[in-house]
Amino acid sequence: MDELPVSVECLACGAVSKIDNFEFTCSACGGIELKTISGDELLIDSMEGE
Amino acid sequence: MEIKIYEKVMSANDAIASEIRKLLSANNIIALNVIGSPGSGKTTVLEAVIPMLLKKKPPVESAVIEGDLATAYDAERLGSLGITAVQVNTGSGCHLDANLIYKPLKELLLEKINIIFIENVGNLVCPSQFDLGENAKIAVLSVSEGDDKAAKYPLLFRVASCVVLNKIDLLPYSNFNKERFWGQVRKINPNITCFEISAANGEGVEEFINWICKYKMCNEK
Repeated sequence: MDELPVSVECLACGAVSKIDNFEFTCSACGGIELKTISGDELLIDSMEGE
Repeated sequence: MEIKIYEKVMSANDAIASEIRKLLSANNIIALNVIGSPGSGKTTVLEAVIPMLLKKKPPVESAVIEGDLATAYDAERLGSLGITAVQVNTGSGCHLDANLIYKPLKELLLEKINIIFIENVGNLVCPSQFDLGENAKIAVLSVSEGDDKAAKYPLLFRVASCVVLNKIDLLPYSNFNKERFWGQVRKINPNITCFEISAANGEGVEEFINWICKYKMCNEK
């Protein structure tokens, strides 16, 4: 199982931030209009069998 | 041997949710997915809201799909308001999924309904993860649950459009710190709309209803 960090793009300044502890603010400008770009996927990428 | 799959775990649910969204949109219906713990007052909130929506001019007609593990208690309570309330029992399931509501939804007289409230199974965790084809998720939290619950169960507060803090008539008898609660909610979701109500005595309900009506106007055709 690979856990990806939550990453967001700020719609105001365009910076990409990693989100810790569900605190959704842009690390560059403090903006709150954010687009989640990764970290909420629930994907089965592949499976292994013998 | 590695077998590539690259499939979303939720793809089957999301396909049905997409069908539901089309069906609702074709009938110009707004669906609101109401999520909160058992005992937070979800049903009581709906009991306060639905009759007041009916008194609007023109009347806003509601229907309810009720999710519980067992019993039809809540559908009976809400059905007594003179609206259609359909009970879905999940057995041991801790949430509603799109497949569970598709059939009861199709059985409703959709042409007569403006808003469908989907009252999810009482649970602050799993229901947040399932798209039911709704327009918005509404989080209901009661004062008696404690002011730390948004921080401890953040996902619901991240995906919800609106938070209803219920049972504010109990504030004088509890150590619930509103500033702490709303501060944590806004860190998780700075754009969320917030209400403080007592569904039991009606305080704050009018403001919440005005938001529902405005949300409906902005999202219908």
